[in-house]
Amino acid sequence: MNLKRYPYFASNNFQNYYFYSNGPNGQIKKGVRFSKMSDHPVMYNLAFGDMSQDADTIDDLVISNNNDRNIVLATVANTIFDFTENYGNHYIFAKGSTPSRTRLYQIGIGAMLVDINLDFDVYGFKDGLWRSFQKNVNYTAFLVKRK
Amino acid sequence: MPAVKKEIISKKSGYYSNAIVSDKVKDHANDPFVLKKLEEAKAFIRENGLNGLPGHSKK
Repeated sequence: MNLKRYPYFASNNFQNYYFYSNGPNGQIKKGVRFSKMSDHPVMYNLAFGDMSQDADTIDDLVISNNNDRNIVLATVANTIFDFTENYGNHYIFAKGSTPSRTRLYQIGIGAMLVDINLDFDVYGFKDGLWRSFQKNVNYTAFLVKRK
Repeated sequence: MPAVKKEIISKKSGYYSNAIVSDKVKDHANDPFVLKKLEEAKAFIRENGLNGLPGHSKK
């Protein structure tokens, strides 16, 4: 999964990450945070979004339109790789804050699926079931597990 | 502690990552957005379950 991505920083506990998106709207700081959400099975939530300049907190309601979606998503995928290297092969849950944001994640995952599948199993939730992720299918949430 | 580059290489794909580990990276565990997303994620799994995943029966 050696896709183009941005350099990124990790906290000492590998639960927090940030990097800078570069595009027509300038340099935008992005943050990723993994938080444990269940023990059986062990599952972590992935929170991802832009970092507010004033409070340095993550917020994914901002639409930055920096024309680098796939590089940004590849960078986030990298953080999953680092996180699971340190915390084990557990499920990572991701869902956009809005249906359109979830769809953006879906399109990005679909575009990188061949590469992602080398290291990860990806599932999408649709019609009451978790299913192996397929391109061009609409899902409401995603689970990723390192192989 | 100075920033340290940590390289990890996948045995499966040859994929590598190279996070720069730094104690200057803020902990976002208590960001309002992060907490909200965490609660929403828990609620989603509570409501929808894990049916269809390996080891979990389908309806």
